[in-house]
Amino acid sequence: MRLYNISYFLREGIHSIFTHRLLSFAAMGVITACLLLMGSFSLVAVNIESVLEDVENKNEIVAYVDETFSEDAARAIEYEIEEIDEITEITFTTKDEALESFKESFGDESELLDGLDSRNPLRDRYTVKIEDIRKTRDVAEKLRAVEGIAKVSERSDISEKIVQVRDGATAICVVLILILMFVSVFIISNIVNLTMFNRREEIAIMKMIGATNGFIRFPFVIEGLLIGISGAVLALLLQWAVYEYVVAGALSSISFFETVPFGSAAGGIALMFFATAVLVGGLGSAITLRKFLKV
Amino acid sequence: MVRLLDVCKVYENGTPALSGINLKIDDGEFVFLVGSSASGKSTIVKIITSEIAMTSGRGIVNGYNLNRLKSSKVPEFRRTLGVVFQDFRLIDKKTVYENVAFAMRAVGAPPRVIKKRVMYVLELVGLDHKLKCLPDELSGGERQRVAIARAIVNNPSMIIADEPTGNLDPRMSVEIMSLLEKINECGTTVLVVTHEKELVNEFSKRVITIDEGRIISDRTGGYSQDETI
Repeated sequence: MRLYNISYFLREGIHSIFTHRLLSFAAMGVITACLLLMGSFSLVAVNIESVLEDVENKNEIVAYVDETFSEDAARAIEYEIEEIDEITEITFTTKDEALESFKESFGDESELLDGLDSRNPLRDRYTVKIEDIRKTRDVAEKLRAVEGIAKVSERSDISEKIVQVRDGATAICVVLILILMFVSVFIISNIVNLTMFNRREEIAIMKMIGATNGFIRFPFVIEGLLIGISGAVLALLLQWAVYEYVVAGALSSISFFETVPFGSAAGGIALMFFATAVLVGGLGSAITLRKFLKV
Repeated sequence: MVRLLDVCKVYENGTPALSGINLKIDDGEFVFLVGSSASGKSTIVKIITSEIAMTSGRGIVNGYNLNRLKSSKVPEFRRTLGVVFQDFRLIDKKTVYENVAFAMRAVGAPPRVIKKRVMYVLELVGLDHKLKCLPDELSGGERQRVAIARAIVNNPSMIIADEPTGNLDPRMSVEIMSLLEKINECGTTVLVVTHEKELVNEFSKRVITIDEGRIISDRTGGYSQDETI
């Protein structure tokens, strides 16, 4: 393709947006609205995921060492625990450290426990974190099988609930985003269709004077792409403003809830916006145009 | 150059439009194709421009075999034709200059060549002073002249004018016809489809009369007295 043709297609695409400004801006508005809805659901999903990840990180398994084991013997079994694949972090706590920490939890009334110093009833212990909390029950079983581990404390019921909630929330958000994407494509393809119908005579003239389908299609595709990308940029800016200044501001009063910063989700959202914009704007125009090219 | 041999056309709804059409138009000829409404004139034009396919028969236009014309070759074929319509079919949002230049861009002509050639043809049709006007700002005759300029800008070997004076007053009709005659004198084949008897008789040209999908007369020098259309 020659350079002057590319510049002509670009000029034609831009010129056409302003010539048919009512339909162009209607299409841009619809794209922006649909993308904003998709983006909002994505941000809800990201925040739910982040909250659940925090909860997930706090989920630990504690393996108590047999009290007949000396501290050295208790430390010696760490290598066996390390061999359990799913474990990502191991912390060994002696029974004295455990007692100290227990006392601390009593604050000013810790002196009530002073009598326990000579007869510490606690055990040396391993606190482990695992990569995937779905494996809590399996890891607990493997820990129980380690020689020297007397008891394993785990809350696999809670882990399983967390997994269920997270999977459910993710599935709902994904389904909603897909529905919105489908609705966006449907609405936008109708607008593109309307635009093409409005210009069918122009397309028929082009065909009659010997323009190739590619020559006719290019300015329309560029026009669709520009409208789509402009809609995506506008949606991204609005999403950022609404999220940072309205949503995050409103939720900042809830002490236990910290919203995910927009910047950390922006890459994914921008990618989704631009992919949808290119898909519905450019590809949508090219496909819709096909039926008008049969002259 | 047009060669139609035993061409028949029956539309999908079963309506017969043409039957046994044999037509031969040589390079450089000026031909009127006349007939009443629904006689089959427009169907012949649509077959010649490859807008529709014939049901049976054979056809060659400007060296292209219509029976074997692939859809990818249709744009290339149409560039050998310049088509002028009754309703002008100009792009409303483009200026006079752009409407004509567009036809050259479609064939990939470089900008410098486009500018020179467009100015030349607009001067030829007498509209070089209305370059920046939109079609809405022109009279019917002026719009048709823009359409003719667009039809000739790529130097086609044949101009097909389908009722080019249908929306014009008699004085303007003669002017448009004279312009087409002038184009023909430069060597371009011209086929004019019309039903205006008086206009045809003002020009002593070959006249092919069609009625109910059949050619009923082919003669030079206007209508014969006994032909009614």
